[in-house]
Amino acid sequence: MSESKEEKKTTRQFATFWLSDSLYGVEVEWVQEITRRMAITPVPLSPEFIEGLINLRGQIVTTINLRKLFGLKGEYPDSPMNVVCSSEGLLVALLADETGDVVEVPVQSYEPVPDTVPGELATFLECVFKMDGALLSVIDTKVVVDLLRQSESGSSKGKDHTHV
Amino acid sequence: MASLSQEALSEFAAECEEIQQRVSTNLAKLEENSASPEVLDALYRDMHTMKGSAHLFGFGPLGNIAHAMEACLSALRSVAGAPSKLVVDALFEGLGLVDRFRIDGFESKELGVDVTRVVSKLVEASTQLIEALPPEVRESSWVEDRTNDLRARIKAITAPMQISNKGRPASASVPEKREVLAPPASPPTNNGMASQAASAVPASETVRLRVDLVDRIMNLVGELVLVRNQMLSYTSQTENSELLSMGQSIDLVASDLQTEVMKTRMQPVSALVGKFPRLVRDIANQLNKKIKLTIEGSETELDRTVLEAVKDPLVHILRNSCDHGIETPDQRKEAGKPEEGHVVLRAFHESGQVALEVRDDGRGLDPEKLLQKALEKGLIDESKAETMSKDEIYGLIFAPGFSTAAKVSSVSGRGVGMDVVKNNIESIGGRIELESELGKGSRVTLRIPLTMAIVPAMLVRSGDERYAISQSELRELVGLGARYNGEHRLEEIENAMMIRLRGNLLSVISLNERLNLKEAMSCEDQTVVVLHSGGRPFGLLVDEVLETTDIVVKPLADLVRDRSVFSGATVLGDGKVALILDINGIAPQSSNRTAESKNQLRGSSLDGTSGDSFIVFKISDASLYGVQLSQITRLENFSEEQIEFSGKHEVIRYRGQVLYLVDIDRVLLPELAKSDEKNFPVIVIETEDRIVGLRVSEIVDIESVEDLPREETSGSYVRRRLVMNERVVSEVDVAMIVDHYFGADTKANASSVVNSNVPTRPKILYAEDMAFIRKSGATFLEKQGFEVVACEDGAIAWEKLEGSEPGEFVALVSDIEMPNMNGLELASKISESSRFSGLPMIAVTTKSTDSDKAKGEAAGFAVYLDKAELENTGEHLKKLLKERG
Repeated sequence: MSESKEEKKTTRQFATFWLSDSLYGVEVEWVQEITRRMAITPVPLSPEFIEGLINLRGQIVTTINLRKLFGLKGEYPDSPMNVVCSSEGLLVALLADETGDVVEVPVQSYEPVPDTVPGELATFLECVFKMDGALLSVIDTKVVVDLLRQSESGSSKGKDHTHV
Repeated sequence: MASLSQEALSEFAAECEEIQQRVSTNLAKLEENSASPEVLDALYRDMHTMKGSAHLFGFGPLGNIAHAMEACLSALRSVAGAPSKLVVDALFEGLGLVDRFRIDGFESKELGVDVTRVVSKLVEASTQLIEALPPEVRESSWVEDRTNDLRARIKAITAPMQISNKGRPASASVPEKREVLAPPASPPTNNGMASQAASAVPASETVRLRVDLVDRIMNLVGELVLVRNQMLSYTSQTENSELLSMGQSIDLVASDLQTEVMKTRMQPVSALVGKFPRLVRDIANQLNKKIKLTIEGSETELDRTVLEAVKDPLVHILRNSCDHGIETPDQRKEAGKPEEGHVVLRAFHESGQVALEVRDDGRGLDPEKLLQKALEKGLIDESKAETMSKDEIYGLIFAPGFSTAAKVSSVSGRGVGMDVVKNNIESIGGRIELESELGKGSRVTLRIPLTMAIVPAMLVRSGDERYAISQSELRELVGLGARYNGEHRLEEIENAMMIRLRGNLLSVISLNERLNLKEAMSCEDQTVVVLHSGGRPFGLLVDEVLETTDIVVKPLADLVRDRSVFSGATVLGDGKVALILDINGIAPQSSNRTAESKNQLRGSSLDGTSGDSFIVFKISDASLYGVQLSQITRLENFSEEQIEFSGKHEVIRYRGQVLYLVDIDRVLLPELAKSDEKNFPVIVIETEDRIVGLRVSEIVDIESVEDLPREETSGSYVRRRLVMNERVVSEVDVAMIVDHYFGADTKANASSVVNSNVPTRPKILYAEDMAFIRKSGATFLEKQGFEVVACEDGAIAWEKLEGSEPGEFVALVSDIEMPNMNGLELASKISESSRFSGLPMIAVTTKSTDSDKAKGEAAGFAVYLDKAELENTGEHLKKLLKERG
């Protein structure tokens, strides 16, 4: 999938979206499609940032509330966008306020994530690109996927539950 | 050897290659950084698998290499720190040899010399690892265990080397153990093809299909079934008769198509079990046992993916039966059994599932031994051990890190054993059951869905959402409330709900509560879904039962599935997603509550009575006493250690308050000696001015009394005698007992005790990098009465600690994996500092293998918890603080 860019490596393409007036990007190869908000099934007992599950033509997609994941303030608009990403067989929808264009940026404008970015957010960013008029924060898709793949409990069964 | 087909051989080769690649990647990791426990576990598992498969096929030398590597990795797992060059080199050499076997042919004779050399090197590496352990660790029982285990392995491996290389004795070999491994049987020949062709159906009637094509068709049919469901929910509302009949036709066609396509994927169990007689014979030879294997129902068909998934678990179980179950001929003779042990493998259909049963007439499981072992391994503590039922004790076998064999042989492995089997079976939606009778034998039953793709399910509603329950786990539905004549109603002691069902008490869990949903409606209109999965049956209280439907199971992301409440998701007829409930995960954990363990009600005359309910209990004189249910707040179990003294009274800290313990024996039976039970049930009663706990010997039952003649008594602690189920129960007068017990003095000083016992909120430091865990962890701790200072990583925590007043923080709770400074570094730093050493520290982490724990403890963590126990951190902390005074 990502082989083509290995050869040139002079530019990278990102699908962009807005969240709390900041511009975020996800590597284009990773994005499957973008949809309006769909009927969502909440998952009880899951972490706060898991908004729920949606049905994308028979496929189950885990929807992530980026505001809660990144620790951002504010609310989503009534009809947020789902940026549906696919990686290693895992489908993830990132909730965005509004979607932007697909941009192609030269690799020279790459900057590491500034130290001033708060911890929760910085964890999920790969780097920042300087664009005309805006900074593009690139989401590290691997971290997001790893987060979803991580099993917190392993086997929580059979543990000693005390009743208090 | 005739049973070894070319197909099986190429399968083995493919598996070998797969493992080899993984091992190669992981070994590279091992070489460049210090070994992460996960990587080591993965390596160990892979070599374990390869060892098993190689022996299964009779590729002795390859199996020995794998065995030696496994042994070395096993030692490496117990040693902290980076492996030496010798160890890594030896492992790489082993891997290289595996590769050569794969290329030259697994039965290659030329490699024998190399095998001896590499095995010796691996043995040397293992020995070095074990000797590197500090003596106090080496002496502790588990390492001792492992060392012996390793020695046994080394002997087992080197002995056959001697046989095949008589001219060059391997340096580390111990020749007298020659009989442990039989020399490999004659190598497989390539004429498997011919025999296969001979037995095949005439070519014109069959067609070969690529497996992935069949899978793809199956997926499409799955989608079609979904669309059909969607369409049916639409057409059922339509007035248009033509559309309706079209809908019905599609329904029929889709159902037939589904059945037929499923058939294409079905394979008889014989495809799987064909190798087993050989396997059992080999094992029997190795162990000098006589074992007969009978296979029944081998024509039973299963989906090929399911079949594939049960292969390894079944081999493992079979090995266990032969190795641990069946006794040696001498032992059998002594026990009055025929010399030849009998293992039966039976496959059969049962309520829409296929059951695979492995039964032996061996020695059976000894619950006492299991308990002892679990205690030794620290899997359970003593108070837990005393309350465990027989089934729960057997269940310990499936706990990670458990192995019953006192000795370990090459036949059944250790460590990665039954827990892996259980996980594998559960991951395909099956379940595993274990029955055993000491001295008579054991039976392991795997219940496997026919297919993993489409599952008949029932939909229920709880709150605003629908949830699916697999029909195979469903037993019956019990309607509550007036609509069902009020025949069944929920009875409840605080949080423990139950219903009476045909004379038995069935504990009930509210799905709303389990999922932290708001209670949507009164219990009156709810339904209890009776479920049975593995353990005992239980009831699940749902708001509404909707319909039954076929669902297509879709996997969930690990993090979503995490709480082990959901096993998957599915798309419903209206296109919305519904979660599938994992019944094993929801089932009540064993608890102290009475209703679950004492569920036998005598007679059925009680059903539907409206009289008062009583908790019936025993004290030391074994006669029955009762307390009215309405007076009781809760039932608890406490242990002797929890008792503190306030003046002359025994008290227990209980939910931030003080519970006054009343030893009811001392009131009613002053002449009897005080009972010395370490753990005891307590009936908690809240009176006007204090919380009182009645200490009793045993809680017997919950019973109701109709307006029966009763005998009033006066002037004693017994209010009246009641007849319940033809037994006499004395109702105690709680108020009188309490007054007598405390006299008049306690009222005044009760409040002062409370004040002195409940200090101002102790302040603790909490380091955790994941924001959401940090937040919920802090909340749990705050609920337990702590003031929490949360930090994003170890470095920040250290800073906070350095800037704190002396004694400001009473404890540290920390994650292990964190950026900047991890938990281990933080703990070591604290332990080494003069200012803070001795600060109680608890680790709460996902890294919870034994070696992690050992590392954590070395760094100074007093308690090492899995994140699954996050919400119990507070309790552990309290206990720790109490221990440290």
